[in-house]
Amino acid sequence: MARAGTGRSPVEALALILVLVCIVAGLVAGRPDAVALAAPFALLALAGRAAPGGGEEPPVRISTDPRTQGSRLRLLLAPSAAGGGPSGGLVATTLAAPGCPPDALVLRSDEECPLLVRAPLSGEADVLSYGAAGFTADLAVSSPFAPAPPVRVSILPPIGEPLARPVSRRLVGLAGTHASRRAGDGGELRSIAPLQPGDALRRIDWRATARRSADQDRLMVRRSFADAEASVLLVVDQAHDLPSSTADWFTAGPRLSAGSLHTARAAATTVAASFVAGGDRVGLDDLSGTRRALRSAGGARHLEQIRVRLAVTSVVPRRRRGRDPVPPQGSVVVVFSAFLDAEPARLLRLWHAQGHLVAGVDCVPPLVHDATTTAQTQAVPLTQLRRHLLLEDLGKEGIPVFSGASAVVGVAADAHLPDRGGPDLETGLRLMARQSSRHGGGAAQGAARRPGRADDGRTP
Amino acid sequence: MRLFPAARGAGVAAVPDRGGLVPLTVVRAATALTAVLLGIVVWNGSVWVVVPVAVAAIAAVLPSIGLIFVSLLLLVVAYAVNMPAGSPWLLVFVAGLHAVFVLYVLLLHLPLRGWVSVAAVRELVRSFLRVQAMAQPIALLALWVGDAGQSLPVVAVGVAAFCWWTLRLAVRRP
Repeated sequence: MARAGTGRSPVEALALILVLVCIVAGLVAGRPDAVALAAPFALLALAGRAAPGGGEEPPVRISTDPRTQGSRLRLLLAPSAAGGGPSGGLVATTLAAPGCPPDALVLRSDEECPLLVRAPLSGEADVLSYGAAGFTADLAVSSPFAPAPPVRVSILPPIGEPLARPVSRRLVGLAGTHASRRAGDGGELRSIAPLQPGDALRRIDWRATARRSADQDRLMVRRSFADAEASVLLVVDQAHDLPSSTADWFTAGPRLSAGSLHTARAAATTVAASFVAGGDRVGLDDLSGTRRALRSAGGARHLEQIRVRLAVTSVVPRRRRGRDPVPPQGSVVVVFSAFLDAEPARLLRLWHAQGHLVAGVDCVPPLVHDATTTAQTQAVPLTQLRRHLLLEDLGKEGIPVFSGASAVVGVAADAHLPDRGGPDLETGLRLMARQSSRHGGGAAQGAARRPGRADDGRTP
Repeated sequence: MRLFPAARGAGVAAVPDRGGLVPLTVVRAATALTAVLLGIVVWNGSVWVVVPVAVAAIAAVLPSIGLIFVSLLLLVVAYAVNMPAGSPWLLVFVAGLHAVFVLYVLLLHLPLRGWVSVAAVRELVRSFLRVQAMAQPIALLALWVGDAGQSLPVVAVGVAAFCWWTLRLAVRRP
């Protein structure tokens, strides 16, 4: 490391000074053996003069390795193709994981080394910053330290167990697995009525005809409710990412631990996967209004788009939008938020008033109360109190809010969840689905009980 | 225990996932040990040996150009002052000072913690031996010259032998 680039390095100067010291000490003492002590330093200084330095490119590169070990991501440190270090020497790589002091790794320039780093549970993050300097094996020549772009990874949010699928009563789709209130092709009986022009012959119910048309002058047909797919709009509030450790609420800087945004990603992915698996359409929007909303669609490919969009979701301050997001007609709207301010609650109320089936998902993870200072320990309960009041108001207005922490893999069912009374996501959606099917089924049964009113008024 | 935000270790360090690595702590300990042993030899019988020992230990943990220079200076000057002329310890000191210098320079730009691969250590040792292959004959020549005194033929033969040896090594070096 004596010579870096073209200038004279301090190490080379140190070697030369030691040479001079040895020579002077030998001459003063009249001892050639003292002069001989300078031999290795002189040789190193000469070697540093003779050899050229390295380039500006880092001599190594770090790439992601698809093999992971548990929660740790595997990276591969390998020699760079356009390496800037001296050939046939050593490479000193400085590695700095977020929130950690740097570590060094000295390898031969042709060596590879796998690395294990901690990765975020979901989302995009810089998992490792690094730079490298190459030097010859005698340390006489070195290339300058070259920083490399940090290793950035994007982790797709995990898909949890399938959840119940509550649907709106006003289904507008034309294909799917849910019974709508419209007449059409479907599996659920709507009425039995006399054959009319336009009725398919395959719908003639011969048993009903024999039973109801004693003179055999009328043919009775079975009419059904049309099958339709549901439409779901997932709205993610990315204005805040509240960590589980309350001490982390007050610290800045990169953080790889799970927060409310990871809960929102995981819960939204699980909800989206559940609906997409049932043939429904799912759209995605965010409250910050930074990106165009992902239009409502179905299919496995669309689910991957949703996961990718959720993975790149990061904390973005909420900006004032020209207009509020408009959910598709007859859709279920699910808002994933930490409910730290009134905006998500306002939108939930708005969409609820517009007749949409709405639900909120509280994404605050189970809290670890480790705030340290007095101000912090006082701020945490105040924040929780504000959240509690917001959620309580929503509950009074009939807008359900579920706990999304259960959607995160690894959170125990009996974990200390934030102080709110809502059920977990699975239970809440199941209850919601039961209520909506009861209402929808009631309407359908009512319509089935009133075939004359539903058809042409001619009661058989 | 009361933890403060600044003191909380939030992250998890990156670790190599392979064998054949030597922790930098071992390298630092070896550096300090070599410097301390050399210091004990030249400062034998003096309480002032504490000074080079302390400097060497600090320079191994927190290396800087100044500390490295002071540590090596304490060894070189003490050798010139304390060791008798023509002592065979010269060969050990030529190797030891070179080793200490190389280890200090290696540690100079590295963070406190880390690893060095065994292959890299082997490469360092090979390079060290290559330099020593030239330095040790110089030391032998110096001892010979010191014993021979003013004998011109002996000095001429020694210098010629050293030049031949150096040229041979230079030609064979890749």
